[in-house]
Amino acid sequence: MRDMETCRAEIFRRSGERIRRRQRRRRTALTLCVPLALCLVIGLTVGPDWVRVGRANKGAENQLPSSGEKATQVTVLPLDGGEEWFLTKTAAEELQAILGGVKDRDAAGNSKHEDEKDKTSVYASECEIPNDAEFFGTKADDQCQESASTEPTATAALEEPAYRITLQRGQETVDYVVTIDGLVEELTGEPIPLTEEELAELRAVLGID
Amino acid sequence: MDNGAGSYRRFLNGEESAFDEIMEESFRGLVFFVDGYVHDVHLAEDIAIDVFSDLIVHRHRYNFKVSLKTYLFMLGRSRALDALRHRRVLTAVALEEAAELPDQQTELEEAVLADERKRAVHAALARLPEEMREAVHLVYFEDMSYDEAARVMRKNRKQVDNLLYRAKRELRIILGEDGEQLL
Repeated sequence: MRDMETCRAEIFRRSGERIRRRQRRRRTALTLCVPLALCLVIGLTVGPDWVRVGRANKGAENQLPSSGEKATQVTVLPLDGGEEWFLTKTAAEELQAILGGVKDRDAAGNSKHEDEKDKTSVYASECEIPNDAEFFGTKADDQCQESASTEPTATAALEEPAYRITLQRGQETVDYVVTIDGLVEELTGEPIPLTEEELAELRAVLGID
Repeated sequence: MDNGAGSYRRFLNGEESAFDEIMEESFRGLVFFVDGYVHDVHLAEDIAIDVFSDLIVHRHRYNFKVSLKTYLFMLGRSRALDALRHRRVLTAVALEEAAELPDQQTELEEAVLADERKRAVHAALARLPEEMREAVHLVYFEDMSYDEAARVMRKNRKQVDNLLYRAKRELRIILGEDGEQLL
């Protein structure tokens, strides 16, 4: 049996130890629980916004090519007041391919085109004075009429229903207007020469068929 | 007499010496009471130390609705029963220490049961069933009221009353003619 003084000392020693242990447990709980609670609060308050932004970004990524010159965001806006939409990544690439094909064809057949232009001018001059040369006769008149009907004009291209296509290439933005009859670059007002097949394909890609 | 509640209040107000008063008043009695359960003075002392350290660690757990002594004995009893449940886990004292136990038991008895009459009754108590022994101990040795004893034993007043009545009857038989005078 221990004497009273030893027991008293033992009581205080154990009490001190238990109090220290309790404080340590409380500190541990605080260091674990406070960050957890903070995370939870932040997660609950900001989380839904992040998810919304993340979904929007994911959607945009899906619409955009990964990087480089081809990184193009394509927006299609119905000019009759409808709601605009974005093209998917694949559709944007297809559109690029169509426009690229037209450009290549233009570049390759530039000189040829010049010749045709000359011819057209000749025809045009011929057309202006149809009775001058009997050599062309009615045949020449037909050709004149034909060339006049096949050549696309900006006025024809802008017929309703029309859609504005906005191509975003990095900082650069190019607007086109597509109608039933063809495609026109909005800034310059120049029609883009498309074959019927290309136009049909373009409309299908844009989803306006 | 507030059975230590006033002293404890003073201890809570920062008077360290008040704790010595509480210990003086209840510590030995508690060890003796717990020893009645665990039959091991060292373990009983250990339990009593734990009970008292509870008073310091959980300062506001005691609500002053019962006397402090009752509260301490309630804690002591509950811890003694826990110790009995874990008895098999607890290792017994070493053999050389065990030889000292009877002496220490006597020493403790002498410390708590100062008067001859009480010691004689206590010797007879060993032959009583545990609940009767507990009731007699609390009422006769710790000077608790029936209500306080009932609280410690987690029984009602009537049950304690019955236990004491039967215990007295048994003790009279055990102690014989002397018993009449002692009780």
